Amino acid sequence: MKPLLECRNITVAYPIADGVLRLYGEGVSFNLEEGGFLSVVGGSGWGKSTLVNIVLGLEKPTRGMVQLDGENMTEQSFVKRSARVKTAAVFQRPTALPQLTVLQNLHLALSMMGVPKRERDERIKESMTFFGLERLSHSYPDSLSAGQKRRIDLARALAAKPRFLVLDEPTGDLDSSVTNLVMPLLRGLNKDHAMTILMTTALARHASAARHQIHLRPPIFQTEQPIAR
Amino acid sequence: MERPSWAPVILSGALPRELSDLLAMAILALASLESVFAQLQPFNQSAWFATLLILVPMTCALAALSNSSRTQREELALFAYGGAGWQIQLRYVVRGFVVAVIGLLPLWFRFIATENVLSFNLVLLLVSATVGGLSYAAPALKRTRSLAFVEQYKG
Repeated sequence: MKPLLECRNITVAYPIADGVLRLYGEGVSFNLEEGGFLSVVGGSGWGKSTLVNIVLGLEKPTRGMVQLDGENMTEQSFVKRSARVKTAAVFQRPTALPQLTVLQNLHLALSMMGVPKRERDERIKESMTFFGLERLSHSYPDSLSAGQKRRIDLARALAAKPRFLVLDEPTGDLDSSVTNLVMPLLRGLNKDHAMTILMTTALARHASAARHQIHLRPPIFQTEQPIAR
Repeated sequence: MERPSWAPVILSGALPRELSDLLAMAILALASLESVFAQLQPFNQSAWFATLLILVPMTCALAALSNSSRTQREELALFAYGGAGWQIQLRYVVRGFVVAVIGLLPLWFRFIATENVLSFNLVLLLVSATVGGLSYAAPALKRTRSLAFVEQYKG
């Protein structure tokens, strides 16, 4: 069976000073089967978010190849991918249009993913209820706390019922009561709806929610060329 | 069957709504009014068009640049919602076009009142408005293609 996501020898090099490179993920390789649930575990600054951006086609790796649903993501734009395999992403930093209310943001996101209007209302209501956002539906994102914004992002991604869900530290900014809801929800979506999930986390106890895990190593520093003295 | 839709991305941001858009329209309207009422001597078409081609794109680009911190947040959200780069650019092209068309209304009215609907001057106005739309989108194009933009998704 062909994997939905295939990463081969991913390495990212960032120049941090004259002649010095910071290398992330020395040749990270993994497969994610359709209906799989994979946790990417690593400490802060180890390249988890960079890997998410690469998988989504937002960044290009210095070396290596990413194939999503058979397409080379290092040559694809984020948009084409999103349109084809129905991917939803929750980034580490909350994202919402500041001039729209919570409800309007969710409607816009679902309409962009092509969810029919008659289904949108039901899905949004269900998702907002789950995350306790009903009373915030007419609030603007700027008036909300970081945890509330994170819940909006999760509600938006899950209401879309994507084929592939990418979550970058989804429990950051959430209090323990919501975190305790999110992990079983993800397991349920994966098990009952065969949703393919890629999640990054720094916490081993959250990583255990997934069926498979990969562990990143800390970045290494390498001189690009001998530094002249 | 669910099919990703491009229309909401463009329509959600096609109309001018920022203060900088209003100021751009006011500047273009003042320049247009001056041009309408100053045409007492024979009309110099090439000089008039050259002025428009400088004034309109510069005003539109300035309007887009002055609200870039806010629009960047919109762009991040739209990408996260599954929007395409071209869709996000097109919404700015449309918005800039609308800003230019509204700002140049005095000239539209003048030419519509005095010339054929398909006159050369009206075509030149249309070209100016299109250039205004493209100029409005230019800062966002540069911004969203930079590595610094996608770094914003990281905590």
